[in-house]
Amino acid sequence: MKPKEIVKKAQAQRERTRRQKLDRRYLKVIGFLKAKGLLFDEQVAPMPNVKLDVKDVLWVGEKVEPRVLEVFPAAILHFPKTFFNTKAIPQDLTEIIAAIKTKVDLDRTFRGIEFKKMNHWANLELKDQRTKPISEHKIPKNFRFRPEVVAVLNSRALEGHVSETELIEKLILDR
Amino acid sequence: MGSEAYMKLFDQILSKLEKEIAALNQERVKEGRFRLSKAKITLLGQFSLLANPKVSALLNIPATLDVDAKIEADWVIQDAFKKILKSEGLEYDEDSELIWIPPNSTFESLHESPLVECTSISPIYGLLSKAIKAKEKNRILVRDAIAIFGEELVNLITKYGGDPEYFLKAKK
Repeated sequence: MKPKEIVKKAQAQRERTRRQKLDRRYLKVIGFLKAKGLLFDEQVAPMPNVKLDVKDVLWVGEKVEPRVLEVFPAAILHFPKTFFNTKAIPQDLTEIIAAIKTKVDLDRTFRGIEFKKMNHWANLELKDQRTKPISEHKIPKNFRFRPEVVAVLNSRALEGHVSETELIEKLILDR
Repeated sequence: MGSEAYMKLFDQILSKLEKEIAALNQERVKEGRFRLSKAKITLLGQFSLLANPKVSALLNIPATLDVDAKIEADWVIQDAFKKILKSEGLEYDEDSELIWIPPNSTFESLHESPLVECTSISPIYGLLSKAIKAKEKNRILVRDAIAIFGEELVNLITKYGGDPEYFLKAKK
């Protein structure tokens, strides 16, 4: 194709992008990500309280703005209740999200976006102070202690004005 | 309106950096040491597009919070710059050094003072870099940029081994 033709086709397709950026799906997805401090945008109003269909998020990420896909794992891990229709997440992206959640490194890309980039955003401190970086999320463990051990644990936690979990963490980390 | 708030934010960042460097220099002079050399910061990547109001308004692009920049400065200034970015809700991208700056790239001046010089790669070269080195992720952006910059960008992409038609292909 001659350069002139390429430019003409690009102009026609750009007009489509312009209309897509007025679409309610685009405005909601970008608005939410902006409100949560995952994207910077001046045109779209922040929308912190919306619920998002994963199908719409993928539509925006694949058809209009790929940076949405770069921060989507961070968004769904920090704000799971915001998203519905999660079965629409492609298998390879599901694996990436699971790897980030379990702190496993993956050497792969999704739609040209490196795993390490997606992992990076999930481990960032967001302006929403109710969330923590994924790397700081606690991991549940289940132990069976003798009753007398539980009694001592409870009593020492009360004395130290800490929770039993905090007491155990301190005992382990201060060795 | 697109990049006004961004420019204001970046002015704030540079102003804080100037104050920090001035304070560091004051300490150094008291200790009998030389002042720090002038810092040179070159914006690359998405924020370099936002730094150009005309292009930013035409492309209308969101950005992730990482700032790609080449920093030629003493390590204390580099450290200060990264901390200031963080205080403004942004992150310095430590992979900035890996960004390909096309030969013959031009740069636009954003800020000039005795302490700090800040420039931004010209949008067409920033976009060329994305078209050659990160084409999949930037397919839509580069396609829209071809619509704006025309044959000049098409020819540059071809010159550096890229395929301009790639950016027109619809995703299946």
